[in-house]
Formats: sequence, C-alpha cells, structure tokens
Amino acid sequence: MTGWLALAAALVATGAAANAPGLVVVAAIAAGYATLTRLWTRFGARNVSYERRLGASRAVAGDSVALDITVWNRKPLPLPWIAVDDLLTEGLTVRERPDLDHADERQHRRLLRNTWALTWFERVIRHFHLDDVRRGAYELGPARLRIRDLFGRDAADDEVEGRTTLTVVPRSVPVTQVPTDRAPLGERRAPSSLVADPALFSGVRPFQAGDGLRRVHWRATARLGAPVSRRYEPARGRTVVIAVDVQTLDDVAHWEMAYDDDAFETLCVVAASLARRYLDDGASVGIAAASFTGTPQRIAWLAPRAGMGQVARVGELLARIGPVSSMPFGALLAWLARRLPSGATVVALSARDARVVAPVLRRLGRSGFAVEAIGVASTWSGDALGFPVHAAHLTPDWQHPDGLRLS
Amino acid sequence: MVFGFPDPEAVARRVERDPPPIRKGARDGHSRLLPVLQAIADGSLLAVCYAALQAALGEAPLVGPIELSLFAGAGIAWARRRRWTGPMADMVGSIALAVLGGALAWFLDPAVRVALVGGHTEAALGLHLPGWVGAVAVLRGRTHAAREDDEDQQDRMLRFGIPLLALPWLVGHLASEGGAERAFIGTAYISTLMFAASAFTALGLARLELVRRTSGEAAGSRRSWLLLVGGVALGVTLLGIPAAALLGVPVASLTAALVGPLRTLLLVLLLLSTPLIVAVAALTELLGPLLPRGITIPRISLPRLDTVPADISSTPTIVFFAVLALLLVAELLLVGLYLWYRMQERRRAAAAEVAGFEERAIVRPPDEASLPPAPPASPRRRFDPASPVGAYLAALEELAARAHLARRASETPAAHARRVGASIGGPSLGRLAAAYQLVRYAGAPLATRETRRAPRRVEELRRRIQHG
Repeated sequence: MTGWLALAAALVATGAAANAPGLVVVAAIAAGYATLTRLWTRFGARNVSYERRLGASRAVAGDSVALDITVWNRKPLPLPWIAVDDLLTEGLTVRERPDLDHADERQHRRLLRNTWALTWFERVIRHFHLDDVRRGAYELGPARLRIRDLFGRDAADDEVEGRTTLTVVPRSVPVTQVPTDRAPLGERRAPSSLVADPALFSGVRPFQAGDGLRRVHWRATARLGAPVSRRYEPARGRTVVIAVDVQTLDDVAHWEMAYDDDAFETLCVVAASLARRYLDDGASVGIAAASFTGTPQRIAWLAPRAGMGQVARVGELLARIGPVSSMPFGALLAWLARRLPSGATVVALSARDARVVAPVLRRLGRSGFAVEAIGVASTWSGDALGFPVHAAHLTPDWQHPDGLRLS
Repeated sequence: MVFGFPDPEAVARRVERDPPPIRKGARDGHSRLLPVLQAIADGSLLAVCYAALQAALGEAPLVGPIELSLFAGAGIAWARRRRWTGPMADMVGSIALAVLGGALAWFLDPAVRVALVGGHTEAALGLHLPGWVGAVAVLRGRTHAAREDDEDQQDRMLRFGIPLLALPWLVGHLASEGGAERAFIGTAYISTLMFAASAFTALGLARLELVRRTSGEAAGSRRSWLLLVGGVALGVTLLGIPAAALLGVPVASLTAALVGPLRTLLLVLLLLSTPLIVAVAALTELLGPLLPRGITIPRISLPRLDTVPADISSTPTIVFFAVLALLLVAELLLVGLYLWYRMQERRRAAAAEVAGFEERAIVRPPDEASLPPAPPASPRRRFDPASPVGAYLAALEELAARAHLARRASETPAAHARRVGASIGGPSLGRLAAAYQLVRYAGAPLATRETRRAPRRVEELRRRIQHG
C-alpha cells in the first residue's frame, strides 16, 4: 500500500509541475484505493468477536444438539466480507450444512464455513443443529477468521482459539435375562458386613470402646467436643469390571487397525447397559479397554466404584474409546489381573469368537477371579468353555436400541 | 470421532462435487454483471489512451468510453460464446469482429466519410488512424475468454492500469492546447471515473466469485457486498462531478464525452436505415412513370454522411443543463434502487428470523468509560494477635511472606508447625495452632493465661523468622 501512496504523491507532483489536473484524478484514485484497502487491513480484525455455544456438553447417541454461532462486529467499520472456518471433529452432522468440507491442515476434521457481511456494530447469531449425533468425543474449534476488504482482497485473518467439547455417550437400555431363573449378573450390595472398606469413608459415629486410635476422627472430635470414630461402607461382595474387547474381527491382528464399526458400536451400547444394570444392583463397576482415549495411555481404565454417579463416568469413558486396539485383549486381561483384588468379577465383552478369548479367561478364573463372558456376535456360543457365557442381543439394532436381551 | 478413518465413499463424494455446484440464479447474475464491468473497464482505459492520441494529433476524440466498452463487450461475448467453438471459427470470427470494430470506429470520423463519399478511398484510409482503437478494444475483450482468469486479469488491470493512466493524461495535457485539450480532458475525465468504478467493482466481484467457486459459499453475503461497493461507486460519481470543477476540468467539455455516444448512436441508426431509404427511393423512381399526370412524388434525398458536426464544446447551455438533469435523474434512480435493495435485504433478514436460522441485530458494545468503576480493593485484613485465633492467623500471614515457611496446600497444620519448628526452632507455631483449633473447632474456652501467651508467641515467632 505504501507503493500506491508513493505513486499518488508522485502523480500529484508531476501534475502540479506539468499543469495537468488529470494526473491529480489518477493520484486520487490510487490514494483512495490504498486508503480503503488499508482501512480493512488495519482495523478489519479488531473488535470482532466470535462465539460458539453448544446446547449441551454431554448428549446421548441419537440426540440432536443445538449449536449457536455468534459473530459480532463491535466497531463502526462495516465488514463487507467476513468468513469463519470452524473445525469440527469428523462424524458430526450439521442439519443446516449437510456437506462439510474436509479440513486440509487437520486430519479427521471438517470445516463449518460461515460467511457474512456485517454492518457497523452488527451481531449475527446462526442457529445450527447437530443431528443424530454418534457416540464419541467431539471437539469444535479452533476457528479461523478471515476478512476481505471492499475489493475482495484478503485484508486480515485471525485465529479464535476457544474450543468446545461435546461428549456423546452410548445409549444404555434395560437388560433382560433369559431364562430368568439364572443367577443375576451383578451381586447385590451387602447391607452390613464384618469387613469394612477403609477406602469408602461414609461419616462418623460416637467412639466405642475398642476403637483403635487410628479410627478416631480427631478433627471432628475437636469440633464436637466428644470423641467420634470414622465409619466406613461395608466391603462389597464383588467388584465387577467390564473388559471391552475393542477388536471386532476374528482373523485380524490388533495392530492392523481394521474393525467392524457396527460390532464395535454394539459393544459400547451393551457395555453401557450392563454397567447401569450392575450399578442399579449396587455393585462397584469399572471399565477397561485396550484403546486410546486421546491421551498417551494405552489402556482406557475406570476404577470400580459404586453409586449412580459412576454411570456418567462409564458413559464418558465409552464415548472416548475407539475401535482401534492399542494392545491385544489378552494383554489387557493380564494387566487387569495385576490391578484387581482377588475375587473380583471380570466380565469379558467381545464381538469375536469365544474361543479367541477363552484361554486367557480360563487362566483368570484359575487365578481366583470370577469370570464371565458376554458375546455380541450372532454366532457366539460358549459351550464347554469352563466359565459362564452369555449372548447379548440388542433389539432391534444398536442405532435404535430398545432393550438388551441376555441368553 | 477422534479415532477411525475417513469414509472412502465420503472422500469420493467430495472429489465428485469439487468444485461445488453453483446455484443457477447466482451464477447467471454474476455472469451478466462481471463481463459488463470488465468491458467498461477495458473500454474506459482505451478511451483515455485514444483521447490522448487524438489530442496529440490536435483533434477532438470521436469515440468515447461507452463506444469502446461496447466494442470490448462484443469481444468478450465472442470469446465466451457457446457455439462455433472450433479453432478456425475462432480465428476467423475474431479477425472479422476486430476489422468490423476498427472500421466502425474509423468511419465515425466525418473527414473519413467525406473522403469516402468523394471517392477518395486512399485518402480516407490515411485518416483517423486512432479509429483502429476500436479493433484493439475488440481484441482486448477477446482476452477475457476464461472465467477462471477473471481475478488475475482484473488484478493486473488495476496494478498496471492505474499507473498507465498517468501516461496518456500527461501526453494529452502536454501535446494539446485550446479546444483539443478541453475535448481531451472531458473524455479522459469521464473515462477515468468509469475505469475506477468499474475496475474496482469487477476486481472485487471476480475475487468473491473465485472464493465462492472454491468454498461453495452462499451468494447472500455477496449481495450485501455488492450494495456496499455500489454505494462507493455512486459516491465516486457524485464526488467526481464537483471535483471536476475544482480540478479545473471545464464542465461543459464533459458534455462532449456524454453527447458523443448519442451522436454515434444516431450515426449507426443512420447507417442502418440507409438501405431502407435507398429501397424506398428506388421504389418511388419505379412508380413515378406509372402515376397519372398531375401527381408527383417528392424526391427523397439520401442522408448526407459527409457533414461535419458542430463543435460540441460550443453546445448550447440548454443541452448542458439537460445532460446534467439526466445525470441527476440517473443518480437518483440509483439511490432509489439502493434503498429498494436495502428494503429487500431487511425483508429477507426478517424472513430468516422467522425461519429461526439467523438473527441479526445492531448492538452497540457497552462503552468502557460508562461502566461503573471497579470497587476498590478491600484493605488488607489485619489480624489481632490478642486473641488465640487472631494470633495464629497473624502468624500464618507472617510465614506466608517467606516462601519456604508458608503453609502448603497439602499440609496439615500440625505438619506445617513441625516443619516450621524444624526450620527456625521453637514450639510457638504448634501451640498457636493447637489453641486455634480448640477455640475455633472445639468451642472450648481457653484459659486466660493461654490467651495472654498468644501475642507473645507471635512476637517470638517474628523474632525467630527475622533471625532465622
């Protein structure tokens, strides 16, 4: 732009020297062009705010989530052309933009493009809808903001760093067991127990003769003016860990990164439904899967806990795992054996042939763990495997499930 | 999802629709407007050059920006035709169109017509050489064949066109004087304004079209942009007329450039009607002997092509004011058009609000100066060491000023007291902590003697901190 201004000055000087007023006209055009473009280059990106707001940060698969995009030109200079490219994780369907372009600079990202012409102090809110969201952890942002001047030239650009996350948890459905006379999957919480779990602090009670000094809650004692002892939850009879086998194809090594998407989604729905069922029954439930969750950890692990708050945590973890295995399922079970107390129940949930996981599960059983296996494949059969086996069927399918039938 | 692979079918679909489909209505509107602007820009630039050439020859320009824009437009239309696209047809057609344009521009000179009517063809060929600018205008329009190059072409046009304009202006001023100079200024001034308005608008439109083609964005934002840029072009025009007077451009000479196209139009009409007139004359000649005696048909005389028009700069005042009034009406119409478009925009915005997709509002951000001043920071709380609670808190405050003695977030009061005791010695902090817990948590009344000891313990702690 400096060149244009220099040209304008030279033309004015020449025009004055040659007594040629026409050159002043040309100079005025050159100076006007330079000034106009500089206006947007210098002030275009200033005081422009961009905001992205999700109707909910958590949703259940199949829901529709509102997405509001707001752009506000907070200055008197109108913006003839402003475009914002917002990066969305792949897999989101925007009702108002059925076809989203791929982002060139980021893998597995799509671009939600919006273009406006804003007058002075104008604020525009666009209401989008993310329809039929699939299970997953989605990230929206960052956004790239580009401004063009009156002549369509790129005048300014900026990056809006703010990111928004949307966690879509799998659906959980009621579990029915056929036949009904079999032992329930989970174990009911014991109302009292000879053994208390010191990790499960539940309050204080008056000091009783025989309480150890370690059991006295000194701070509460000081506050109440009378000695009180800690009270713990009774120990659980069984801790249930659902080990999800993320490998969904029988004859494929775990590192080959090939998978059956339907089978994997079915596994997630079944795992969420089972976890809710166990928690309803009062068990402590944990989840383990050999999958990355967006961190360097190779194992997605949720320690067993009781209480309905665990349902949300289970959903969160299941939302984050993917169908690409980070290690063999056997290695995951071996890792679990080192992690869990003896007597815990390991429920292996797999879409593969039962014989693939049977040897490891039998070893676990011999090590003192209670082992059960649940298969989601139609050909699942657990005859003579040496541990209880169930076949799980989602009705009618994993996309619109009404119930989970265990047989 | 974070994990997984792009769906190959989706990628294939993307490749298939790249470039994205263009809505018919939007493309049609653009395909009409952009070439028109390109033709005006080309024709205006050539008109300045031509006027300078004529001024150097000491003659008034006979072709203005509008005529040359029409020539350039003909070139563009030919270049973007959909039929007869073979190379031979292209070459023959281009040459024929260029010859036709050149001949028409050449024929606009009365001296040429006089020479031709007088049978002096060789002399006519040597006259009005700048008339060949018409052919150049056609060929220049021919260069806009590819729509994909519009943005590049318009960018180059501005980059080189504006500095280039200075040269003919300089030549025109230096090489002419008197009436020729006035005629040059009139044509060149109008042409320059037309060039500026059309070239900038065409550049913006070409760039936005390029962006639209690559990103597949909707045309809605372009409409607002067009209104804005149209407003600027209108502003240039409105400012240009009074600026002409300020710059010493004789306003009356502007009429020459504006009346010129009318004169050309009349000449073209005359040329087109000549065969008809000749046919009617021949018919009357044939019918004449058949008519009864006493009935005579007046002789039809052919229009004279060899008349030299009066000097436009001496146009009567009434014509000047009529042209000015026409300009005013045209600009008022443009303003009305702009307001109508704004109204339509508002209606569309209102319709969009009803649909619920987009909300627009003018919202002034709160003025920082008008916001109530932030409340003053609360004064630092001073703890009274006379009470056991105040003494312990005062001691903690003293220790907080030293990083290695400050209580850590994960530290219990007892652990903190032990660490401080190990560092600076003395049991003061531990005892202060115990007194604090008894008073604050247990609600136990503290002995008077212990209460009196509290400030002394704080003092001792301070002393140890300073010495330790």
